Amino acid sequence: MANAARVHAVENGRDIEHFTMVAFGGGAPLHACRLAEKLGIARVIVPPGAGVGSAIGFLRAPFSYEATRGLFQRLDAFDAGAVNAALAQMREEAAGFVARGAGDRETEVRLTAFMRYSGQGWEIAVPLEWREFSAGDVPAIRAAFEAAYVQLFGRVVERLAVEITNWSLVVATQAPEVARVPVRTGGRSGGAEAPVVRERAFFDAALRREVDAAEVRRQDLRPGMAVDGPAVIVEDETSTVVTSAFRAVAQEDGAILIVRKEAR
Amino acid sequence: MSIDHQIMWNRLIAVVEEQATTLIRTAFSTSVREAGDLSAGLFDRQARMIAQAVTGTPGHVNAMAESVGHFAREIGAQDIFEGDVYVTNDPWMGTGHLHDITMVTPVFRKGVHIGFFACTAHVVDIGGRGFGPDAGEVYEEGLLIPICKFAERGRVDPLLIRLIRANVRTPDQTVGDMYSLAACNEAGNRRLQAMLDEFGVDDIDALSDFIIEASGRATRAAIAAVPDGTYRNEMRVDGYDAPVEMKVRLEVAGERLVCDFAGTSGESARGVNVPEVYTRAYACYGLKVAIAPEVPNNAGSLAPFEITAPEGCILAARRPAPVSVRHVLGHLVPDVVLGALHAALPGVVPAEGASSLWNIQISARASDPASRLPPAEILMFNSGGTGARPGLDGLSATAFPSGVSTMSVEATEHVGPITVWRKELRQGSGGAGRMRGGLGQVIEIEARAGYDFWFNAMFDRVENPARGRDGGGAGAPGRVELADGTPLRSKGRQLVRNRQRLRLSLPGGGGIGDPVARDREAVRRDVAAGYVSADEARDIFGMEGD
Repeated sequence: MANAARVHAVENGRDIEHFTMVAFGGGAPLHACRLAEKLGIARVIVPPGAGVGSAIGFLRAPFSYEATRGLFQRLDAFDAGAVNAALAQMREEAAGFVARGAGDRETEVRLTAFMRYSGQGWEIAVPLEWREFSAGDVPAIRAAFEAAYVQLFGRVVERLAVEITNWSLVVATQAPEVARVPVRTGGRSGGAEAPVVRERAFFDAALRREVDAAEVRRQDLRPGMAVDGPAVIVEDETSTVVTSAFRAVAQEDGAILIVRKEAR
Repeated sequence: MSIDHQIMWNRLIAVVEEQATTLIRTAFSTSVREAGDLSAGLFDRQARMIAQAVTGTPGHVNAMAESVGHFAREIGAQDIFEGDVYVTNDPWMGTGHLHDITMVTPVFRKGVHIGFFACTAHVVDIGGRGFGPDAGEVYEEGLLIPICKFAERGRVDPLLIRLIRANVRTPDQTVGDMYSLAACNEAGNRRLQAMLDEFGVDDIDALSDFIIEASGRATRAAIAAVPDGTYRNEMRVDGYDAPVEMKVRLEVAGERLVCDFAGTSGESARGVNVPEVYTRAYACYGLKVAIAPEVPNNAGSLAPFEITAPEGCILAARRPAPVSVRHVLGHLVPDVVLGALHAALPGVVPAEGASSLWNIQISARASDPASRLPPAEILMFNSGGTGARPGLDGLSATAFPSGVSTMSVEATEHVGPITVWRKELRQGSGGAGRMRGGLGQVIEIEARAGYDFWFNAMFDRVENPARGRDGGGAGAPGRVELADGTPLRSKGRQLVRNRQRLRLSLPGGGGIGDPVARDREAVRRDVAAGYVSADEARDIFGMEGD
């Protein structure tokens, strides 16, 4: 996992050590600190409900539906009527589905044509403005394709026919504004200590030995409270293992910020 | 500093991988976009290859590694400008036949020339007789583009494009693929520039020295670990109309390895000849996968293998010999060198395999010209079985030593009016042994309504199957026929009429060791899967009836 993350970061030209890791899913908070140790990462956030993060994400994400259609056309034989009919159907399908969940909340429509030069085997996504098309739109569609092609591959291929293979139409509600909260660092004078339920042991891989850890219930944490590793913070859906090198601080939005002790 | 170099080296792999991916995404030919018959790499200012994408075929990569030097010399330093793109398909300057187009883009940084990106791909048509072995001279095999500028300072040469379009059967695809090759080098360049920005360096000279020295050192150490001695092998293969003897002598002395093909048959009158650059590419690949497989492929790891074939033999054909299907013998070269290496490194090398790809070039034409049905060119790559490995069975219907992927039948059928009725593993074709050879496959192809098709046969191991090792059996020989059993030739252009079906039975790989010593459970699994018949299990593998 650490190797995969490092390779992925390298391939994207990033320096992973300066990032903050967000741990979610039932298993992530168990391993996050160890992974951060291997990657040289200093900060980990465990959001509230991290153990069921995917489910929460599913419920909180903008409500959207993507309708797709295969509708193969060469641009030099562009049939605006057929495209408009297909897009109207797709819009109805997508908007109808979104309305059932989102009611009359404001939505936006995003349209993408998948296009290529005739004879190629891979299409590229070409964002287009959603509207009624007419035969007169062909030059604009070709220009949008060429712009996207140049963006990806540097140069257009002159004189070749262009074709559209698929359409995708997304109807989505807008993403909610994100509220900013101040970071609580739980400095030496600041946060109270969290109540310890009991002592338990776990293997601290960085120290290569078993350590005695304090077990703390997440529901007992109040903003600013700090828990020094080695510790285990338990809740219904997961447990957060804080290794000896880290310290956890409860945040105002219910998240746990885990920071390297020396980097505090 | 060397840690930075190590990091940048790793990053270069990502750079050339992106280069290759761009080629696959933008290519027009199925040989490129489906089979990955391509190569891509980064070269320093001295035209030394420092990184290559892990894709495609050694024939491309290792030949391209030599070819960039020709470009640098022919164009000349004073004529290398920012925005230039160079091209050739000269078999002796590029990768061995006219169908492979190599394109080279100089890399500039702050106005200074610091290196080259290069890539190669096999295009579907380059004019002439088409991809097949029947020509008597290279002039019949299509249009030869000498090393020249595809683009100068960013402007594509319109005359070159018109010349090519006028001389090939598939102008959109062939020219489209050239644009895609140019785009692939540009993608690599963008990534490389971003990397140099990040590390705050303006040339790749020190990095290149580091990579080439480290790789050369590791390769020489690996060669030194091979017991000193002289090792020989010979192998007979089908050739065009007369069998070809391939002979090799390996001389290992300390860190030196010399591989010499003296004694190999002379040139053929037909296009199965191999330019020496392509022989070197495959011989080096065969040696390197056995001796130094972990060392990245670059100028440093290629140089320690000294490979030579006497000029005028079939593995070092002279201009203007026909060379269109040079892959047929080229792909068999590793079997010859690995056989010699077996004496030095027992328990390392596989048995002989089908090895040579069963590429088939199909020209679909209207049965009735008055019908005006459009013609189509279809290129399909197919693989037989690989030889058994010392600790594992051979791989079925898998390319080795070539690295191309299998093309999906659907993608092939989309290109032209043919139907692939059958593509299945060929029972009993794997050589028997303690480790079984990989299976070949059976393919049946028919033209759709209104069409006949011509096909260019370029198939080997029909007369001379892959031999087993250490008591293992030979793989089944290949067969070329109509589905009704009418035999066809294994080389050359032939007609298959509408309602006739072409059937290709691809050869299997050789086995290793006594088949009676094969794990009984493995034999039972082979029978259950239909790889081996019950009769074969009893008669050859010595299974008691159960």
